[in-house]
Amino acid sequence: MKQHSSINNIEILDSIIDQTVHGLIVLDTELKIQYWNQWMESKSGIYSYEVINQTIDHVFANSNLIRIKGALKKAIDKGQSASLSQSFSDFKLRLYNNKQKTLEIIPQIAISPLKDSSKLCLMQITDVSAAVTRERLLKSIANEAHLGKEAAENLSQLKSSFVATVSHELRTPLTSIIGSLGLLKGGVVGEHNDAQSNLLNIAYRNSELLLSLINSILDLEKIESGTIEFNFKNISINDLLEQATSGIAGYGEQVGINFRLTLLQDNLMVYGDYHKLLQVLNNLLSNAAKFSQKGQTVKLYAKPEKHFVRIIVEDKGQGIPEAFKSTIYDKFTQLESQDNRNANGTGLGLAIAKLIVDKHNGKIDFESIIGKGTTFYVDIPIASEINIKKIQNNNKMP
Amino acid sequence: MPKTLNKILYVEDELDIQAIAQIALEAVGGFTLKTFTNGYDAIDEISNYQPDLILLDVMMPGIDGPSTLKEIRKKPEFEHIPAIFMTAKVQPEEVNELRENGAIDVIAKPFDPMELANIIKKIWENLD
Repeated sequence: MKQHSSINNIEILDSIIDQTVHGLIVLDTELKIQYWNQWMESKSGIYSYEVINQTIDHVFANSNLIRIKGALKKAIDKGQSASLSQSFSDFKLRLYNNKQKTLEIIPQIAISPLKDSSKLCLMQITDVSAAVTRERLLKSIANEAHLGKEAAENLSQLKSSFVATVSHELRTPLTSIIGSLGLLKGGVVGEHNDAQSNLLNIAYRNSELLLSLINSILDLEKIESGTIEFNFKNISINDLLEQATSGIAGYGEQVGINFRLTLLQDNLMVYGDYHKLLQVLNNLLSNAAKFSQKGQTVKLYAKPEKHFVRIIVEDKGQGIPEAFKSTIYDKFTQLESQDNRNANGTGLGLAIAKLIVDKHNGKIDFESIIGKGTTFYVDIPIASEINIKKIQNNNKMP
Repeated sequence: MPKTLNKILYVEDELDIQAIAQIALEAVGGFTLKTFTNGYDAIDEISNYQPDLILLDVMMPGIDGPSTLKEIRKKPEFEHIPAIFMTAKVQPEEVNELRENGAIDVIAKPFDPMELANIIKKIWENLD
């Protein structure tokens, strides 16, 4: 059974219509205005009595009026409804106003025949100016963000290329400096006294430090920008540990530190870049040696875990002060060793090590007690199908 | 191993680096060296010198190291002459590219002048 509303009072209906936030205009077959609601009055400043029986041409001035009139005719003659959405074009609805007050809105217009035999039609106008302005603002922000991203990418490429070029250009004079000092130091062009030897050693050592810095900055930049290619493959943990130990043995002899390697009883494979992991271990082992006392031992061993292998570098050296712990992976962070044996450090080694370990979906961490020593852990996922897929996904070239 | 390494043809446009490498290879290594500052002269003179090995800088004005090697290898008598590049461009992809250009090895700059001759001797000894 059809339900009837209790609101059948004309005054109440008028009040509802007056309070609506849409423009309501009723037009007859000659497109003369027969109704003009309060919203239209307040927006345009044109009162209802001023427009009643005026044709729509007298009130609206717009090149799109032809389109509006066409839609009105169809509504009156054929009973068809139409929706004229101009919300995202530059279409604005402008009203003639003899009070010099103009209504200029971005409209959404709905035209429909009145459902009676009067041949009248209803034009509903919604002001979508605010929504459109918001939309345009968002588009412009999105566009700027896109341009910003492009600019950032260009800047990053420029930086990579600049670092590579500078690195190459610095190497050329450095080749002459290191070469000349090396020949002098080697006594190829004559012997020198102790003071001269000492000065030559200082110059040579610092030239090599400069070279390490150039290499490290290039490494760091390439890893950070993702332009370096990691050569991932299945690698044996025991091979890696053996290679790392033999690579550092010469340095150990030089500084009086013994490196003790314990291999895994049941060797395991991890998925990684062999040379880059060696670089990480070399950094950890040389750091351990620098911060140990002469004659002490640095241990290198591995522990199998469920999903990863933990490689451990353990020293009994001076330890890392609390103040350094939070910034230890920051670039150019350097801790002074007790006998200044870290003079050849760049302060970039651990920053690079962390980036390399991150690329392996691994983890680097440490425990340290002042005066008792430091233990660094590097966790590298074992070469399982799922880990390999994860690493491959994370290392897609940009 | 083809034969004893004695004569090296060395192309390097940086005169300072050339002077250092010359001492390193002659005085330290005991090799005989013929040096050139550009690839064109090396291409013209190689037949007169008949080296065992070519040592080439990569980036040089005029004709670069890889192009110099390519031209030298067009001469039938030097089609298979072993060549080593010396370069400051040491990124793995750059080194691989030089190997693909026919180098038997690549030595990074800066090099240790006291070790340069030993490095070259080792590379020579590992030749098939």
